[in-house]
This record gives sequence, structure tokens and C-alpha cells, in this order.
Amino acid sequence: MIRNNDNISPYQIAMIIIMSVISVGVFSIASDAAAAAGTDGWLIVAIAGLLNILAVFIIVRLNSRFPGKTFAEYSQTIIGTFPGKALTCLFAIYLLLVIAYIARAFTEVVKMFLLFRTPTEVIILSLILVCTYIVRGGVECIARVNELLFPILFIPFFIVLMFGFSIMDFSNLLPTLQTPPDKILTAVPGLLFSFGGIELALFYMGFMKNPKKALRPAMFAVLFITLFLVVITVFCIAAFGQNATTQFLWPLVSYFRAISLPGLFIERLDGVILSLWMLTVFTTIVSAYYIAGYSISKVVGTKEQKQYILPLAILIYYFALQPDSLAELYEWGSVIFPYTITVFLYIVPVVLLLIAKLRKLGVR
Amino acid sequence: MRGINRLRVIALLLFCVLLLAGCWDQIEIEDRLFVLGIGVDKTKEEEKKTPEDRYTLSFVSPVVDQVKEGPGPAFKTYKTVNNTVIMSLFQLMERFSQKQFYGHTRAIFFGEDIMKDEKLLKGVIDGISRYEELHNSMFAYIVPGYAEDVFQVEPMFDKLLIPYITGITENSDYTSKVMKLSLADMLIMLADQKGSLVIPKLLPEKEEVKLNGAGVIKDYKLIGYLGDQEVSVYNWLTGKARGGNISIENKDISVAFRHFTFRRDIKLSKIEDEKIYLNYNMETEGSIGEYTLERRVLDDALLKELDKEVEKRIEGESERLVKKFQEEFRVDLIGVKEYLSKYHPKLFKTIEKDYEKYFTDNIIINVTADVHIRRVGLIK
Repeated sequence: MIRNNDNISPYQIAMIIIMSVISVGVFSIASDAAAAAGTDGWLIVAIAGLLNILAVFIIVRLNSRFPGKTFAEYSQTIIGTFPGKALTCLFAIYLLLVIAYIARAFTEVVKMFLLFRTPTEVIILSLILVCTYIVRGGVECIARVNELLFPILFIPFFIVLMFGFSIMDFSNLLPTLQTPPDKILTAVPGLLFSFGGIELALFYMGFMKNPKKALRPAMFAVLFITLFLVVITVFCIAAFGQNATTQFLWPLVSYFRAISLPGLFIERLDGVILSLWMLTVFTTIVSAYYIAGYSISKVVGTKEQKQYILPLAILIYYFALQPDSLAELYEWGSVIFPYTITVFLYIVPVVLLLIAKLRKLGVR
Repeated sequence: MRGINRLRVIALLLFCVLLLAGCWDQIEIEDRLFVLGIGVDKTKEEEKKTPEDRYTLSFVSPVVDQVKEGPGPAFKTYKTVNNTVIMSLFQLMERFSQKQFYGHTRAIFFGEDIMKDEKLLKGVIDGISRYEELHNSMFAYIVPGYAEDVFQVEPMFDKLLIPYITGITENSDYTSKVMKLSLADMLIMLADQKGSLVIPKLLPEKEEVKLNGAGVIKDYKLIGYLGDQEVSVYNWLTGKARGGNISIENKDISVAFRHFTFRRDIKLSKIEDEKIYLNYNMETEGSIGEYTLERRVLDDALLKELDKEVEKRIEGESERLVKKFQEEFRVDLIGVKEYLSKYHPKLFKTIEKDYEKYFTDNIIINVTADVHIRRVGLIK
């Protein structure tokens, strides 16, 4: 079967969701989880993941009503042309901020461990320019990049993760379930941010022939992400204990640095992991970047999105350089993203689905 | 049309030249000086160049062309004085043509004076755990006197000093008298125990080092040392021991018991009048290493008797060390807190406040040992 350039398969949807959600957050999630609930940190991550399966369910329901249409198009049908455009526009701005945040966080990690003297500007610009190139290739190109990089990233990642068994002490996870339920519930929203990126499915499912088929792969994707993040949290807490895990800025990096494999050709594994990890950042940016350009083209009403990509790069570059330090970056992130994610991942799909049902829009 | 294409190609090539001009982080391996060990000391008054100088750092690096078959010494040592650890590390740039590289540093030595000064110790530990080039899988030691003395040692059997010392540490798999502590373990312990720690002691001599005993740190201050045998007992109590030897006297015969595994389990036996009774159960199995000629040791009754002797010895020594921690050091480094917080979190919450006092007064530890001599060696 010859597919045209605007079609993605259910499998690719899963890959896009996984690779968009997993990005800079994986390094610090164990620290956030341990700080929020100590040894029960992994439980919070698991709860947050299960809640997001619900979100995915709603997104799929919404998209199934409008097959062949993306969020940018059906939002105009549901709530009217102008509000729909405004919402799409806000979505695009939010995605630009996300890309800028990720690009900057990525730069800070790279500057810390790999390229000490390379100017920040050069790292950010080269990252964005490579992404620009892919994004101009269109949606199928993005889906294939995600599909291709998924095994390249995760197979070695899991193998290296397993090497750490010698430094782990699973009794560090005790006591379990001792955190009071109200404390757990208040800590969950803070970790929902780690699942930001699922909302991109609102758009990508519109490129599918039959969005209904996306339900299983999308749920699989969220389950996979949840499992991955839980494993990371468990391993970090098992290796360092809750107190030390809270102290580390990026516990996962510290975890890989604590592994030493005597007698192996390469003794240190952190370099390998960091270069693999660049791929996750790259795919997240690419997926969000395309949607940002696509949204703008729909708001303006043009057929193509290519021409908006390069100008957006300048905007992203500008945003990325705004925070003064890593501390400021994290502060901005923790102020902006919990709200935007709550809005775009939970509130908007639910409200749109309700209105669509009440107005009996789309197919059932 | 062709003109435009040619112009494009030329522009592209010129652009490439821009990229080729420099790599900011390029560094050749010849330009690197691999530092294998670092020693940290409190600066002596007479060595201070400015009043702010607080740390004296000593370094050791291998001399690459001497390591294989050179007649000269295979390593070089040098030292710097500065007010922070990281400043000292970078001060070397002013004196060496090469760039120091700490990615392969395998050992860090703390002088005794650093360990007695809370402010200085916190500074060092923050500095070394913050610095991205240092890996926290390296080993940590305390040196009575000055850490810089370690670098004066010229090891008898080894060309290089640091692999020699870390080699001894790796022997902790075979002898429980050697304690192994990586920087990561140290950071975890300091975080969990809020500044208390047991750290292996390294005694430098002229041609060798002795790795025996350990320093006990409480609230970031050195409060005492454990002796040679006590380290063994400490390893039993914390469940870190693996292989080792225990000697006993039985009817005027010195008997050596060799063990290859050692297990420790803690059980809460009862709570009575605010007092918590804990039972430390030690389980080990091994073989007779030495008995005496013309006496048959392959005898079930005798082996059972020897079992009891070894058990008595383990119990006695363990209880003595527990007492030392409770009464002399008054700090819980033997895993009580860890056990209670993990397995009895509700109970632990009630005593968490003022835990130190509770530990010294209200925790009663009983040690039981379970020894199995399984083998007797090659002669009967």
C-alpha cells in the first residue's frame, strides 16, 4: 500500500506519545518524587500515570468524533471559528515555551557534563536547526523518526539501567504505603507535569485514517511511560535511599555515574547515556515543533506549515535564552507548566468533548 | 542558472570553513594529566599564603612513560593551598602545562584535622560531590595526621600508589577487617544519618599503607576510632561483612575459622516499658582453617563444640561494640535507626524526636550467632 505523506499508523502514534513525553524530566523525576513522598515516591508516579490513561481515553474519544481532523480544525467546529483559533494560538504559544524550556534544560545538562566551553547559543541553535530540518519534512517524517529512534534509545537504556543492580538495595524502598493518603493526593499534581506531551496526541490522531484505532496504542504508550518512570524512580531510591536522592539535582545521571564496570572496555557509562538521552530531547522538540507550526498555519489559514518553521526557530531561541540560570529556568517551568498542562491536557479535551456531545457534532 | 548554482556551492563551502575553525571543547589526551588520588588537609599555619587559606590539597598522577618499565618512580605528587577545594583543583592550571583530569580519580583521603572541623568538612564534601568530573564511585579514607603523608609512600610491590591502595580496599570481599566505603556510600550515609559516618582509616608508612581501623564521625566531627578487630565487628553488625577469619582458643589450641558469607538479620523481639528489645541474628558458615596436627577435627561433636565457641566469640565482641556505640560514641551507626524506620515506621515515628537519647538509653540489643562449620580443609 502506498501511503500519502499525511498518514500515520496506530503504532506510530504510540511511538510519538512515548518519545514526546520522555524528555528532560527523566533526569530529575526521582528527586521530585522522593521529595514529595519519600519512599512512596514511585507510587505517586504510578498514580499520575494511571490518571493520564484517563486523559488519553478522553482525547481518543474526542478525536474519534472528528476523523481526519486535528484539534486546530475541530476546535473551530465545536466552539466557533474565532475562539477555536484563539485556543489553537494559545496552544502554539504553550508549545513554543515547552520547546524553549526543553532546549534550555538540555543545554544546561550538556554544558555540565559534555561541552563545558561551547557557548550556550551554539548548542541551542544547532539543536533547533536540526529539528527545523526534520519538521519541514512533514508529519510522516516525524512519525518515522520517532519510530526509528524508539528502539535505538530504549534497548541500550534498559541494558545500562540493569547494570546498576550491584549498587541497589531494595530495602531502601521500605517503609511502603506509610505516607498519609492526603499527602499523596496533594503530591500527585506536581508530578503530572512529567507526563506533559500527551496532549500532542490531540493533533497527531487527526492524521490517522481511523482515530478509533489509536486507543490501544495510546494507552499502551502511557502505560509504558508510567512503567519507565516508575522503574527509574525505584532504581534511584533503591540505589541512594530517599534522603540522598532528594539531594541530587539529576538522580538518574548520578545513578549512571555510580555504576562502574571493572574489566569492561568502557568503564564509565554516563557518556553513553547522555548521548542516547539527546535523542529523547530531540524527538520531543520535533513533535512539539511540528504542531506549533501546524497550529499557526491553521490559525492563519494557509495550506502549508513549512514557511512558519524557520521564523519560529528565532522565537524559540529567544525564549530559551531568557532564564538567567538553571534555578530561574526550573522556577519558570514550575510556575507555567502545571497550569498549561492542566488546561490543555485535561480541561480543554473534557470541555470540548462535552460541548461536542451536547451540540451533537461529529460522528458518534 | 549555472552561475547561481556555483555561487551556492561556494557559499556553502565558505560556511563549512566557519564551522571547521574551532571546537571549543577539544582536548587531546596528551594534554591531560590524570589525577588518580586526592588528599585533603587543613592548611598548617606556616603554609598559609593568605589568611583565608583553609585547604591543602595533595595530588598523585602516574608518569605515563615510567609506568611500564622506567627506572624512575612511576608517579608524581604535588600539592596546593587555597581557600576552597575547587579553587585548589584549578590552581594547578597555573603550574602545569597539562590540564588535570579527575574523571579517573579513584581515591580521596581526608586528613584528621579536616574531619575535626565541621565547617571545613561540609565544604569539602559539597565541593567534591558538586564537581561533575569527579565520580562518586571512588573510595574515601581518613588518615590520622596528614593526608599528604600518604603520597610520600613508595609501595614495595606496586608501581603505582593508588591502584595499590584501592586494591587493598577491594580485598574487603575476603577479609572483614578491611572496610570499603565509596564516595557515593559516604554521601548516602551522611544524608541518612544527618552527618554521622564510619570511614576506613588508612595509616601511611614508609613502604606500605595499613588499612585498619576506622574513624567515627558524628555531626560532621571526628569523635573517635574503631580498632582493627572492631572494624570486623562493625562489618558484622551492619551486614557488610562477607568473607573473613575468626580465631578462637579451644583447649589451648588456636583454631582459625574461615567464613565466606556472613548474614545479619534484625528482629524486634519486644517492647516493654518504653524500651525496645532488638535481636541481631548473625548467620555464617565456613570451614576450619587451622587446628593442630595429630588431632582429629573431622568429628561432629568437636565441630559442634567449635561452633559454640565461635558463636560465643561473635556474640561477645558484637555486644561490646554495641555498648561502645551506645555509651561512648552515643551515635547509632549500627543500623538500628535504619531497621526501625524501614520495618517499624509507626514505632519509629514516636521516637524520632530526640532519637539519640532514645538510642543510648532505651534500645537494648541482644546478639545471637548461628555458626555452621561445614568443612575442615584437606586433612582430617
